[in-house]
Amino acid sequence: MADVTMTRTRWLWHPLTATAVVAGVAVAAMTAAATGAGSWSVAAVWLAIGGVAGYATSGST
Amino acid sequence: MIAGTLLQAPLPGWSRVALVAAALVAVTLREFGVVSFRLPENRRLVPDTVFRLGRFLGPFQFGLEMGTGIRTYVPSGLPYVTAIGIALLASPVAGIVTGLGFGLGRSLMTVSNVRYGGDGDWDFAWIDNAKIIGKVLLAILTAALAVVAWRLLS
Repeated sequence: MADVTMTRTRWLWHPLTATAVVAGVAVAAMTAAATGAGSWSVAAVWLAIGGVAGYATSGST
Repeated sequence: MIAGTLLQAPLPGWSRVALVAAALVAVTLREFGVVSFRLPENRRLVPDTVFRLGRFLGPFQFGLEMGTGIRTYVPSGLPYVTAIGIALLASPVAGIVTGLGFGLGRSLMTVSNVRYGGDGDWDFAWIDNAKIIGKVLLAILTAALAVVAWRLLS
């Protein structure tokens, strides 16, 4: 049963899914910052920038 | 952070944005194979012997060396553009936040890799989709830096 569950949810951990998560968070932050939200939104964009850069190094493991 | 403050002080905002844009263009051309140049990296793997330090210090040293780039391969130019962006555009707090984000991004890879299961399956899946993933991440970084620059200059 555990193996079936693992197979059904495996797509959640696929590299493309993780990429979509990173992209989604970044787009949300950018949207807030671009629409004039407070300085927290710029900080959120920087967080997203760091996340993109960190995730981009995934091939180095 | 101090070096970034020293770099930022004498340069007007538009020139700092231009420098970051130039770095981004160079890395973009490199990512698409139009130009080829080496970026600084310490091309050595962290040895298994670090785990002789025990269950806590061993993984800690492994993560420290890999996460800070002391010993690791860097397959993407995006961290370098990010570093230049931090040095020229970010406040000290923003620099810290970006570092936190970098750690979260690396952690997402690690967690996904473990949860995906298999023996190297996640890595193979990454390789199979590397081109599209690289392009998406590059596009996102470009847009994000553009937003930061716009907020800085407006």
